[in-house]
Amino acid sequence: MQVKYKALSLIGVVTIVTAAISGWSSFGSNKDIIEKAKQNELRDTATLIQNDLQEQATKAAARASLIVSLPSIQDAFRKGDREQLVQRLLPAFLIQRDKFGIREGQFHLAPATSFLRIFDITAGHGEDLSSFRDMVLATNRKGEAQKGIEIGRRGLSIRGIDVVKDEKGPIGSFEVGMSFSPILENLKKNTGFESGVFVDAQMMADIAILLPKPDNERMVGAYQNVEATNWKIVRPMVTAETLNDAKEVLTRIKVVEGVDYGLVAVPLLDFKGARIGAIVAVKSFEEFQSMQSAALVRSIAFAVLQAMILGGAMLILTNVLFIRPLEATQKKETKNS
Amino acid sequence: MPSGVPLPLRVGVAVFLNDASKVNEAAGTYEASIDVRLRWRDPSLAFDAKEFGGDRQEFNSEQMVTELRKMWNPRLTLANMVGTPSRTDGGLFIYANGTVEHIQRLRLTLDTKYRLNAFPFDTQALGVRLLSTRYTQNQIALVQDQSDINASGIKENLKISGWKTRRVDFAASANRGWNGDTYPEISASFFIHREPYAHLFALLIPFLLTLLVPTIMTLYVKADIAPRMTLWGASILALIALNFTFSVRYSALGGDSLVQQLITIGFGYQLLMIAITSTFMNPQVGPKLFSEHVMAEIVAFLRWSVPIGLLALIITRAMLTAFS
Repeated sequence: MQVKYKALSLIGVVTIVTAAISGWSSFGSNKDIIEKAKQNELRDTATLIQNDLQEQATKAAARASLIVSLPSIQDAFRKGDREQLVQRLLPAFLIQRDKFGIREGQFHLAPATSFLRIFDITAGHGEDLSSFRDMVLATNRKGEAQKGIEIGRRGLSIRGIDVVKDEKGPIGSFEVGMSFSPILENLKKNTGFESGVFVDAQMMADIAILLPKPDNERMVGAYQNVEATNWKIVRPMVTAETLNDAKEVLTRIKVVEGVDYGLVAVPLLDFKGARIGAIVAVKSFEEFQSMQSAALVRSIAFAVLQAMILGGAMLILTNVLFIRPLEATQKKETKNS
Repeated sequence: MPSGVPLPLRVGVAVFLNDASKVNEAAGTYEASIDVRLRWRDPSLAFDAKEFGGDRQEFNSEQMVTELRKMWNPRLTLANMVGTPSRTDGGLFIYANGTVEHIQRLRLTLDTKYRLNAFPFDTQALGVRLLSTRYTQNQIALVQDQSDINASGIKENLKISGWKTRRVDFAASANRGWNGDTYPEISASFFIHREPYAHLFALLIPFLLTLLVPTIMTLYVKADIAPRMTLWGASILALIALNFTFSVRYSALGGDSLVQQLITIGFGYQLLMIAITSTFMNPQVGPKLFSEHVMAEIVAFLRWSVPIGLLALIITRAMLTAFS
């Protein structure tokens, strides 16, 4: 009897261990595939954001280039005629603002003196911007168009600046600042990620003085949210730690109320390459979670099936070939003795 | 179209679900009370707030009809509305800067597409489709900014019998009109998750009962083959009847639903058990197949493996359906 139980225990242990290893390895490979798919989706999203930032900067530069090449604008700027510039550009820029997310249009005199703000025609004439507007300085110093991200008096924009010049030489520069909304909306439309733009709150407070004081609800640590597709979804996912850690592209899976969320943070670099904030995008990964759970169920089911078939076959064989003959021999010996 | 605004004119859309009932999968409809808020800017309606004594003009339900006749409005259609609303209420706000807010509270029946593959673990989207039939995509854009998102949602503590409310999602799309023009559309989806336990209980208990008695008689009771086969015959008839009952009760379910899978498992199990009854458990056939010792071991194996196998299969199918 002792031999029978030992044999049964051994079969049981071998079967369970074999099935568990097989199930675990099957689940492990499925889990790896799903994890890779999650990471790929996050990386693709980061790439999309970076490409869209570039594209938006190019659009800003293209608009600036168009404006600086208009003879009537060159002429009015040469004469220092603000009224003429406003008259020629304001109607078109209002449409650009309402339809295409243009936030700013500004003329500067070298090296970086504000001449005219299209959307705020009386503000800051003659203001020296050289302490915080490196793009303007670079454009006028090098005599070349520049594009990038920078904080100005009216906040954070994706900017394109070009030199205004006529046959007499350079007059100054003109810049177009674009909103991040088209990038965020595009991201939402193409990938389903809700996103927001966060920027250093202190820099915004120091530089963007033409903007009203930010709402406390939009502050996360030392950062201020300036735009978001759906703040209700973005806010609970973003922490000060996430924003501080976003020195490079950051991908994370966060669990909120049992649901996995994919989070990607793309650092926001200004014209000089200094990090001034981040674009954070989040999306529910519930679908991946379900796939992972289904993979686990399948693995367990196959492990159970394997254990049943393997264990059953081994039990039948062991009992028939060894245990029963042994028991019969033992019974016979007992009877004889 | 209002003058002095860039086209397409942005029309902000917010939809709020106050109540929902009669979720009818078979008919593909549900009843709901919803608030629909449309928001746009018409500079010609701007007024001097100081002169008026406030920055908002309010119009109640009756005044709203007259005002709307006089002014431009996007004239959106509820594309999935069945019949006419049983109750309509609402109002109109005009702000000093020319922003117009048109709010309608409607009680109505809406049609929606139910996806029942994951029944009874399914999450359904109760849709509200707002479609522009008059203005093309070049004239108006149906959008959602943060204020529209904040004004959208599901009433807190809303109870829908047999369901739990989840969240609301919006999706903008475009429809091609009869004249080839493209018209904007925005759909709100209110997600509700079915409470599965009552359905699982109603499905599994009768199903397992039809298989329980003949299984006990076959595997654990010493009986002749004739009464065992009779019991399996009765079990087959019971399962056919159960299938019919489920088909009537859950008529909207497709062939790949958990209910249909259960029935298929049941018939498969019956087939397997009839084969076992007529071979291994048959005193006339069994000894001819294997020796006495081998048969005893096979029967011992079947006694635990068959019920465990059935339960494991049912649990696996149910869980895979839940995670599908």
